[in-house]
This record gives sequence, C-alpha cells and structure tokens, in this order.
Amino acid sequence: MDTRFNAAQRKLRLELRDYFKSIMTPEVVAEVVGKEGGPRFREIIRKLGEDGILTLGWPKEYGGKEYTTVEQLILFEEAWSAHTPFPLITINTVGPAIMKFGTDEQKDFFLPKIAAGQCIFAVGYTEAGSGTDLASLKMPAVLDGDEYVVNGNKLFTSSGQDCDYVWLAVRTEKEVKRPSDGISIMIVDATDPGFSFAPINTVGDIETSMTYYENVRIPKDRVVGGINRGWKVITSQLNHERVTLASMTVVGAKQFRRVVKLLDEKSQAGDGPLTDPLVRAKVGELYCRLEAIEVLNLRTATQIEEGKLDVALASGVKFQNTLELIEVLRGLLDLVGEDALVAYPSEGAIFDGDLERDYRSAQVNTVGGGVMEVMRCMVASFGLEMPNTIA
Amino acid sequence: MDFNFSEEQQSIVDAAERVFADLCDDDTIKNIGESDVPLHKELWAQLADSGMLGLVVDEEHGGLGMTLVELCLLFELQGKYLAPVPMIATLVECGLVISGSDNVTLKADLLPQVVSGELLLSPVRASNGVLDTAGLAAAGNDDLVLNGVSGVVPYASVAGGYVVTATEDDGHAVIVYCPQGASGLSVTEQRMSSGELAGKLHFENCAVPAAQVVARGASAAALAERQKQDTFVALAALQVGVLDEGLRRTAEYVSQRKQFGRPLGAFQAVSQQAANAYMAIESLRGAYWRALDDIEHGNDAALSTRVAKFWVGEAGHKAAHTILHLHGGIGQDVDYPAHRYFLWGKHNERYIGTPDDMALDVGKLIAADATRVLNAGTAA
Repeated sequence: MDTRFNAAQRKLRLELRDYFKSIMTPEVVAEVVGKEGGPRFREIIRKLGEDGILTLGWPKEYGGKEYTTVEQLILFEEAWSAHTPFPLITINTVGPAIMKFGTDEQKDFFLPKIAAGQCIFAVGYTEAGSGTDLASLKMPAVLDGDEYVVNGNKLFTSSGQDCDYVWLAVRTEKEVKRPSDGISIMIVDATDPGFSFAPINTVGDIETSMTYYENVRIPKDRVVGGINRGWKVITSQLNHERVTLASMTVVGAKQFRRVVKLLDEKSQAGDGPLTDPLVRAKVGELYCRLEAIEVLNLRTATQIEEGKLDVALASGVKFQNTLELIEVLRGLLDLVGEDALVAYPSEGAIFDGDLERDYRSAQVNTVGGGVMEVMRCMVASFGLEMPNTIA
Repeated sequence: MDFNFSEEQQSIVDAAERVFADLCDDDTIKNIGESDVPLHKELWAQLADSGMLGLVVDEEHGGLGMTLVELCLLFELQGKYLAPVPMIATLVECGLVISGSDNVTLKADLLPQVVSGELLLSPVRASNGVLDTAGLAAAGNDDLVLNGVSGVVPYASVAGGYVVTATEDDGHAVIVYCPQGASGLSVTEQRMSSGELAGKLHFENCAVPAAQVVARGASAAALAERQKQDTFVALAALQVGVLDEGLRRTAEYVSQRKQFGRPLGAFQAVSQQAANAYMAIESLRGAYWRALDDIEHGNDAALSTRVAKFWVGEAGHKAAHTILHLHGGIGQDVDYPAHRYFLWGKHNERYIGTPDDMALDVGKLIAADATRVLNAGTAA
C-alpha cells in the first residue's frame, strides 16, 4: 500500500506551481478567469505550447514527456488552481483520439499545431434533444461528392466561441441496431462560412456556446476513426477525461487551504475562530472529506496508469467527487460567514470572489461530463451486478 | 503509488478465510447471537490453532511478528462473516499496547497466552457518555489504586484481563493491566444493540501493583494515542468487511426479488441508492488504505487514522440504512441476516468515537499546527 505522493511528485508540484504562478499574475487572472477564449487566453496557451507544458502527458513520439497519470493529474491540478487557460479538451481528449484513430495525414497536420498551442478544438456533442442520452444524437451528415454536408445546431459546445476547429459528432446512419452504431466524428473548420455561434451564459460563469451549422462542408479526409465508428472514438477517451474531471476537484483543497490560513492568521492573536469547537469540527470534517476524495482520485489515476480501470469505481468517483466538492465548498462558505457570497468585483468579495465563483461553478459537474444519475446506474450494474437500468 | 495488498499479505488471510467460511454460516451466527454467551469459541480456537491470534505478536513471545496490515485483512474477514469474537479488543486494543510496553515481565506473562487463545483481553477507558462522566482515576506512587466507571467494555465478562487507561492526579495518562476478579473491580454484564457482549466496569479502590503497570507518563500518553490510531484503522477494516458483504447481499436480493413484474434492482430509484452506498464504502476504503499506508510506513498517522474512523461512521450510517431499506420487509425480520449488517455498521460507527468526535479531533490537530494541511501535497 502506497497512497501518498512521492518526493519527486511533490517536487514536480512545486515546480509547476511556481511556473503557473509566474505566468498567471493577478492582472492576467482577472482578465481570463472563466473565459474559454479571447486574445489573452490565446496568448497564454501559445506560451504554454512554446514551453512544452501542453504536451507533458503525451507520448514521446508526438513530442510529449510521457508523464504518468498521477503526474498529469498534478499538472492539471496546478494549472486549474492558478486559473491558467489550458485547452484541456483539445490536449486530453482530441489529441489522444487523433493519435489513436487518426490517419497519418491528420496526425501530421493537427498534432504539432495542438502541441504549439496554436489550435483549439471545440467539442460539439450535445444537441437540444440529446444530452444525457448522447447516443441518440440526430444531426445528420450527408455525403455530397467528396464532402459531407452538415446542417443543424449543437448545444453547450465548449470553446465554441473561440475555436479553430469543432470536433463534431454527427449521425451518418439512421437505420441501426443500436443508436450508437450510426455516429461519426468529423473535424469542422471554424472558418467555414456556414459555421456560427451564440454564447450561452452559465450559472458558474463557464463560457460555452450554441453552435450553428448551415451547409457546412467537411472533406472526407476529416472523418476520424471511420464512418459510423464515432462512438468508439468518443468512449475510448473517457479514461483521459476522468483525469481531467478528477483534477477539477482540486479547487476544494485549494479553497480549504486558503480558508484555514485565514482562520489560522485570525487565531494567532489568541481568541480567534479556530478556538471555537464548532469551527474546529467543521474544519476537521472538511479535511476528512477532502482526504477521501484525494485517495479516490489517486486510486483511479493509478488504475488508469496500470491499464486496469474499474468502470464502477471510475463512474462512481465522478459523482462522489462532485457531491463531496459541493459539500466542502458549502462548509467553507459557512466558515467564512455572511460575506461569503459577496460577488466580484464588489469590495467585500473574499479572495477576489474566487470562493464565491468556485461554489457557483462546482455544481456544473452534477451534469457536465456525465450526468450523475447515469453514473450511479453504471455503478450499480458494473460494481454490484444489478440490472442495467440505463438502456 | 500502489493501491493493493501484496500477494504475501493476501496469502496470509486466504487460509483464514476458509476457517471463517466453515464456521460462520448464517445459522451458526444467528444461534450464537441468541445464546447466553454470544462468543464464537470454536472460531477463536481455530484462529489460535492457525496462528492468526499471534500475527502481530513478536516471535520472542510465540507470535509471527507481522504488522497491522496483515491483521487488518483478518478484520475484513471478521466483518464479512460477522464473527462474534473479541479480535480487535484482544489483539489491537490490548495486545499491541502490551507489546509496546517496557514491562518485560508482563509481556512474557500475557502475550503467549494471547497467542494460544487462552486469554481474552478487553480495553477499558473512562466513559465519555452522559451517564458516567466521572472518569477513571489512578492514584499512588509505585502501586496504584483505581477508581471510576467505564460503560462499554467489549466482552468484559468473558475477558481474562483488562488494559485500563486512567488519569493520574497530575493529569498524566497511565496504562495498567488488571486481571478479571481483582479486588475492588466489579463487572455488570451488558448487551449492545448489535448483540455484542459488553460490560460496565466499576473500580472502587481497586489495587494495581507496580508490576502491572504497562506504561506511565509520556510513554503512556504515546501508547494510548497509538492504541487509538491502531484501533481506528482496525475498525475501518472491520467496517469495510461488514458493509461490502451487506451491500453485496443487498444487490443480490434486489436483483432476484421481483415486484411489478421486474427485479427491484431494475428500478433506478433502487440502483441510485445502492450506488450511493457503494461510493460511501469506497470513500471509507480509500481513507482506510491511506491510514494503513501511514502506519505501515511509520508516517504520522494522527490525522489519517481519524479520517478513516470518520468514514467508518459516515459510510456505516449511509450504507447500513441502505442495506436494510432495500431488503424491504424481510430486512426487518430478525430471522433473516440482513439486519445484522445494519446493526454492526451502526455499532462500528459509534464505538470509540463518532464522526463528530473525529471531525473535532482533526480540527484540534489542525488548529494546533495549521502547516500540516497548508503544505499538503508539497511537503515531505
């Protein structure tokens, strides 16, 4: 049993923390926080690309450093904690999918651009009628000569407002045994005149978009993984996405340290909040919750590294992480008191509104990246051999 | 990182599992539970014969000299089979404390009897309930006199002796050994909600000769803290066994039992609850492994063992109620085994500290030295 970070991993975390801190000055943070695009966002991502940071987890043959899963988790956690613009989906979903399913031409064209921070992908999966049940998606792609023609709308297209390409899931076959059989993945050029978007403002300030496709033309060689074989491309990247999602819960640990530091400073003088048993018990409880999340995430990351991911655990960690994070942030708001919900840029906003914003955005993962109820059904069927109640 | 028990560690308990499986079928456990002395004597004897009671006793005293890690795998089995034996009390709460003592005569006297299974031991601490809050006081220079009450002493009436943690006049802890039948000590038998045998101990000018002192002063405080940490982890192992098996049986039940023409488990309302219980148990398992890792590698385990005990309660409460509820009406019937997983889950939740107690303890440790959490993930 060995559940803790080793010396090299702790050192790596400190180095990455220093690196991100040097880039993410308070002014820069204020400019980009919550953004998924814009000039400053792009500038930082190009800088990360130049410094080789984006591809630390990639295989060496694609210019990466082959970070282990735990090292990647540390990387994403530190990037996330510092509010660094980091094209997680492009790096951790699209890139690996192209490596696995792409043609040589696709690899040669896209991977160096992604690595250099010069190419950002939006992901167009969700439709108005297909969210929780993604495999039911309907947007058709119709072959016309050497190109597919796409018409329709996508909802919650992450990075849709400032992307170079859209990683688009479309229906290429209606008459299929299972709905997931007729799906294909295609790469849309965002400069296509038929592509447009409209921003969707969200509760957690996370930018996302509605995207529109009007006779958008996609050359045949921009299909990834073959026609009607898109579902495999989508699901094969779930492992990578688990790590991405796990890293997001680091905001709980980060805000916990901040609040404890604040309480501790106020208590140094003597009769401060940390002398109150109620405050101590709440601090203790939150620590207990955070430690359990940390071990679950490290255990999952280690399973991924060993190629032995337990589907039940991975699905369960998704919702457990989310619910515990919400609970921890709630407790931290309690500890901070009545000004906890003063919003940035109001003068009284604590930690420049960071805690208030994190609390607001933490809830999105009850839905985003796999709806909680679906994850629970998977836990019951894979982990407890109960009937499959999803489909 | 490594989130596995080693093959060697696992192999130790593989043999033990056969012993539990042979001797702890549902009917046997039910019958023992209904008997006057709910103690599985045959199992205890078999565990002694196979060397399991000496797992963590050093070789000098007839044991196998292994660590708490191997022992915890044994507690997981005990939980799985709901075996009514004072294994944690005898081996961890008392045995390891005696092993940690400088009193070589006492060790030489008691430890071989633990290994052979002749001597059941039980830990005694001052009551912290609202009924008996007077504490356990020890007075004297070399020989000591004990006064006070302890409310929940596991298997007290069948134990051959007690490891008693008391407080001296100057506020320091002292740990002594007190045999059953000592003058000034009386035992009132009690039964816990889980059916476990327990006792209320009254010490009234109970004389303890210096030869029976396990530890005094700073070493007693350190040993008492170590006793707590080891017990928290042991209870986490036990609870993992109880809840894993309880939930496995629950899933099996709802997958077979049909209502409205389909298995109950085919209702999402049911699968959602089972999944919540599953992840509560996985949270416990992670906290348990982290604490065990710290103990195994000699790290400071003050925080992680308390986190583990917090989750013993948190997961225990959530999963125990789910186990019972999803069994429907039959779960309420005490002729059917489901209720025992519920009662054990709740017993473990509370024994030597509730989640609130643990949270407060952790909060105190953080208040005393905030740097231990402020540097998390970066400091050695």
